[in-house]
Amino acid sequence: MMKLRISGLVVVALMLSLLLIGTTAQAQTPAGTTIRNQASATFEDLIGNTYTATSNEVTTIVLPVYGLSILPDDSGDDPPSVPALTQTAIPGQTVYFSYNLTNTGNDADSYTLLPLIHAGTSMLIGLGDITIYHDLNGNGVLDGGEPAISAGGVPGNIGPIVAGTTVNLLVSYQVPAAAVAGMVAYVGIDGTSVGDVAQIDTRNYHLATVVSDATLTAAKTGLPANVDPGNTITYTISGANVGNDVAHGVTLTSIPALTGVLVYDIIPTDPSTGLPLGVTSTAGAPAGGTVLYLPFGSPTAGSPETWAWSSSSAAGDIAVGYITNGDMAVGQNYSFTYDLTVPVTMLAGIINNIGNVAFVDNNPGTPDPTIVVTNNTQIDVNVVAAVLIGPNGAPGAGAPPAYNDDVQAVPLAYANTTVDFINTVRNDGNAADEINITLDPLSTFPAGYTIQFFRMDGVTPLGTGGDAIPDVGTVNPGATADFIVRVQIPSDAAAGGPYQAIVQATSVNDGTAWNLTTDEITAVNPASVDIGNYDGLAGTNNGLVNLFTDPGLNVDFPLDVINTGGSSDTYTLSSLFAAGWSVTFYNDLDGNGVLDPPELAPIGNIGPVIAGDEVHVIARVAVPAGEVPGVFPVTFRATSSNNPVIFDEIANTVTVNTAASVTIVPDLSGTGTAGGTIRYQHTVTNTGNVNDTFMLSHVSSNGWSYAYFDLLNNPIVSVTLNPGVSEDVVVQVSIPGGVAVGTVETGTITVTGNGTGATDSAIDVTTIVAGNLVLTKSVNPVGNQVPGTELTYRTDYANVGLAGITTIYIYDAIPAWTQYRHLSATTGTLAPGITAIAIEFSDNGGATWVYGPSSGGGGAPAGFDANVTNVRWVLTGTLAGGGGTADGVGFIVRIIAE
Amino acid sequence: MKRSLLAAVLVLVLTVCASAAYGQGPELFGEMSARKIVMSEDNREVAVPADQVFPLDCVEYTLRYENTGSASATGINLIGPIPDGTVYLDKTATGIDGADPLFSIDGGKTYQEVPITYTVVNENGEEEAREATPDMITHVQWHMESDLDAGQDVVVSYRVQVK
Repeated sequence: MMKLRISGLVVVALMLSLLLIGTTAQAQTPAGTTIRNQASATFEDLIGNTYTATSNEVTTIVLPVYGLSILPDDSGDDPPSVPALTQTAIPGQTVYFSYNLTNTGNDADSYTLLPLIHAGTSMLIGLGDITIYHDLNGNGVLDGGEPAISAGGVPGNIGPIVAGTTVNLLVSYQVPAAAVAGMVAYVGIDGTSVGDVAQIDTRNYHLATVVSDATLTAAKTGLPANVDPGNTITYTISGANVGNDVAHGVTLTSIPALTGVLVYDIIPTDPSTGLPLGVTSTAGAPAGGTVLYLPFGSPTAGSPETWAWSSSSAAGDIAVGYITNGDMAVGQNYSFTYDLTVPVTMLAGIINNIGNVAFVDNNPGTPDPTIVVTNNTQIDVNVVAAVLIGPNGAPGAGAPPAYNDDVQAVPLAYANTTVDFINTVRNDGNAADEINITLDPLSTFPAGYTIQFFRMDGVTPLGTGGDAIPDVGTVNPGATADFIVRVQIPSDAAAGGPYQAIVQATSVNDGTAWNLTTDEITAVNPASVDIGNYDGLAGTNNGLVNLFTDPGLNVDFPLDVINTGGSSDTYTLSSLFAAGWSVTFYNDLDGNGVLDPPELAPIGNIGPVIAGDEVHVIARVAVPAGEVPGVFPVTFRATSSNNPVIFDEIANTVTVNTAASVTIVPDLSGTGTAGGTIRYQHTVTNTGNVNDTFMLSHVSSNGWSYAYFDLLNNPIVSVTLNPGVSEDVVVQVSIPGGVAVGTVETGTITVTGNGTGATDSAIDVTTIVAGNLVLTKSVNPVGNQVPGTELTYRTDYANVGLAGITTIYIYDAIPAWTQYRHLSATTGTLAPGITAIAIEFSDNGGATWVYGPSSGGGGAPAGFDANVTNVRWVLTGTLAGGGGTADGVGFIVRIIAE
Repeated sequence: MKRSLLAAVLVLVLTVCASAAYGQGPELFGEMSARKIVMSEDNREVAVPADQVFPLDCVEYTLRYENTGSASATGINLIGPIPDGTVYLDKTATGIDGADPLFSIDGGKTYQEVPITYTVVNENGEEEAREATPDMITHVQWHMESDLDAGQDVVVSYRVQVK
C-alpha cells in the first residue's frame, strides 16, 4: 500500500485488525463548513464596574480535500512477503478477492479503479482478464446484478461515495486452465480520486497460488446490513471444496476426539465494554459436525485447532466455530450460520468481521493447516438518537417517559435586565450527535423580549454547524453540554409573568429525537421610581409638604429619588405649577437637603441611578412678585428613561403670604414765592399682593396747606390700586403770602393703605425764593354759564416787593369741563422791565411743556384743543419792584357742550 | 405618592437634559484576525490569509485589544474560543503579562491552568481525576495582572487545527 499526498501530513494506515469493530473514517470537517470565531474581553474600571467587549467575527471556510483508502494492504515489498489476501486455486477456477474502499476525504468523491499485476506473477493472466466488481451487499460473493467497475483492462469509476463511508469490491479472474501447481498471481487494485488525482491508493497485491489439491472457498455474509442495538446479526460462512482433492480436517487439541474442517469466527466486541457480542443461535452443515465456543480469556495465538475450544457455550465466548465430522470431499459444500446479539448500549458504527476456515491439504510440503480467510463483512449499527435537556446539571429532569415537563424558574426579574439560565443537554443516543437548540413556539415571552443562546463563556453565541440552527456542538454518547439561555427583558417591559422559554434540544442525527425544558421568569417588575420629600434617611417622605413664602421669592423643596426598579435608570425631572411660576431642579450632591453654592448647576434629569440607590435633588420654586396670597399646589415628577410611561410624583404646596406694600416716589424739591403755589407729581404703586385704597396725607414743616389732585386736576384724597398697579398724584403746596425768602418747607407726603396699613412716604422740599409776585386772576363773563360759553381768563401780575423779580413763570390750568380755544393764549401788556413773554402748553398736567395745540386737537371741535391741560407764560426780563400790569396774560376756554 | 394628577390649570414643564456623556472610563476595542500557518520552502513558518482552509491546516488566531477610553482598565480577561470544527494545538497560546494562559473544557464556564483535569466516576463509583487532552479545550483565557492604560494595547494568540 502506498498513500500519496502532495502536501500535508502523511497518514500511514497500517493493516487494520478486521477482527474488531471498525469505525467510519475519522470525521473531518465537511467541505463548505464556515468556521466562525469571535474573541471577547471582560474588564473593570477603577471603581469596579464590569464591562464586556467583543471583537469582530472572523470566518474561515473549509475547502474540500479528497482521499481514499483501499484495504487490505500488502506489506509493500516486491513481491509482497505479506500479501493483502491469499488464496489457493486449481487451474480453471475463478477466484474472488474482497477489498474495501473508504472515502477518507471531507466531501463526496468518485474513484477510478484499475487492476494491477505484479511482475512476480507467474500465472499467465493479463489485465484484460481481471474484473473489479462492486460488491453491493458486501458478502464476498459475486451476486447477480452487481456491477463491474473495471473490466477488460479498462479503468472504471465508482461513486460518488459519501465522505467517510466504505464500499466493498471484488477482484475476480480465472486461473488459466493450463496453469500448473506452484504458479502464482500477485494482483492488486489501484484507486485514484476523481476530485484530486494526486490522491492514489495503489498496490494492495493479493496472492493466488495454483495447487493440485483441495481448495476451499470461503465467503461470509452478515444480515441485516443495518442493525439496531438489541437486535441480532446473522452471519453465515459458507463455501465448498472446489479443489481436486479431499480437504482433511484438523484435530482439536482441547477435544482430541474431534477432527474436521474448522470454520470459525472471532466474535466482534462492543468497544464500549470490550465484551464480545453474545452468540444466540448456531447451525452448521454438513450435518454431524460440532459447534465450538472459545471461552472468554482464551488465547488466540497459534493455529486455531490448538485453541481451548469447548462444545459448550458460556457468557463472554470470544469465538465461535463449527468443525465437520471428518474430511471434506471434492465438491462438498459447507456452511456455518450463527447469530450475534448487538447490545442495546452498542455505539453506532460499523462492525467489521471476517471468518476463517482451517483444513489440512494433501501437500506435505506446505505448512498445515491451511487458513482460508473470508471477505470482510460490514454491518452498520444504526444510529439511535436520544436527547435530554434540563436545568443546569440535570438533563434528565422531568417526569418519564417524556421528561418534557421540567422547569427552572427565576422568581423575579426586572425590566431592562438580562436573565441567564444554564441548561444542560445530554446525548443518550449511541452516536456522537450535534444537538440543535431552538425555542419552542409555545414559549410565552411577550414581544420585545429577546432570547438568545450562548456558550458558557456568556459571550459567544452557539454555533450553527451546517444547518444554520444553533447547536451545542458535537456531543459524544453519554456526554453532556451546557449552554446559556439569555433572556433580555426590554426596558419598557410591563409588570407580568410568568413567562416561559420552552427550549427544545433536537438530535441532528435524528430530528424526531428531541426533548424540552422550560426556563421561567415567574414575575417581571417594570422600571420603577419613588420620588418624595427629603427626610435625611433611607426612603422618602411621601407626606405633603407645604412651604410659606412671600411673592417674588424662591422656595426650595429638597427631594429624594429612589430607583425602585431592578436596573440602572436615569430619571427625567419635571413639575406642575401655577402659571407665571417656574421650577428649577438641582442635584443635591452632598445630600444634605440644602442647595449649596457648588450645586447651583440646573439639571433636567438625574442618573444613571443604580437599582436600589437613592439620590437627592432640590426643586427651587420661583414665586412671581405680586402673586396673590393663597395655597398653590406644586408637583414634582421623576420619569423613567428606561420606560417613559413609568413615573412617580410628589404633590406639595406653597403658601404665598399676604404681603401688603405701597410706594410713593420720588422725593422732589422746588422753589416758590410767597403767596404762590407749587405742585409736585408723585407715583403711588401698590407693591403688595392685595388691592387697597391708599389715603394721602402730609406733614408740613411750616404748617402750610396741601391739596391733592389726579392728573385730570381733580381733587383727590386717596388712590385705589390693585396689586402691581401704579397711579400718579399731584401734590399742591400753597405758600402763604409774606413768607420770607429762604424759608424752606418740608412736606412729608404719606400714602397709607386703608385696609392693610401699608404705608410709604415721599418728601417734597420747597424753598421760598426772593420777590413778591402777586397774581390776580379774573374771568369774563363771571358767574354761572351755560355749556358752550367761552370764558376769557386773564392773570394780571405785579411785584409788590422792592427788589426786582426775574425768571418769572406764570402757570395756569385749563379748568375741568372746558377746552382751550386754539390760538387764544395772549401775553397782554408787558409790565415794566419785562421784555418778552413766551407761551408754552402742556398736555400732561404740566409734566412737560412741549405740546403744540391744534384746531380739533384731542377730538375737540374745530377751533379748540381738548389736549391742552396747562398753559404757562415764561417772562423775560426783570419785573421791577412795584411794577406790574393790569392787562396780564390770558387765554380762552369753552365750556364743553357736547 | 404615585401618579397623582393636578388641576388642569397647572402647567406642565418638562426639561430634558442630555444624558451623562459616556466614554469617561476605559473602553476596550477588540480585533481578532485569523492566519493560516504554512511552512515555506526553507522550512520557516509563514502566515497567510485564512479565508479558506483544508482539514488539518493550522490556523492562528490573534487577539488585539486596545484601551480606547480615557481611563485605565483593570482586571482584564481576554477570551479566545476554540471554534467548532477545530482543535486547540497544545502549547500554542502565548503568555501575557508574565502569566500563562488558562484553559476551559466546559465551554468557558471555568478555567484552569495546565495540567487541565476533570473528574469522572469510574466503574467502582469513585471519582477519578483525569487529564484533559487538547481536543477537549473549548476556550483560552488570559488574565492580565496589570492595568491597561488608555491608549495601550495588548496582543495574544493561539493556534488551532482544522479537523
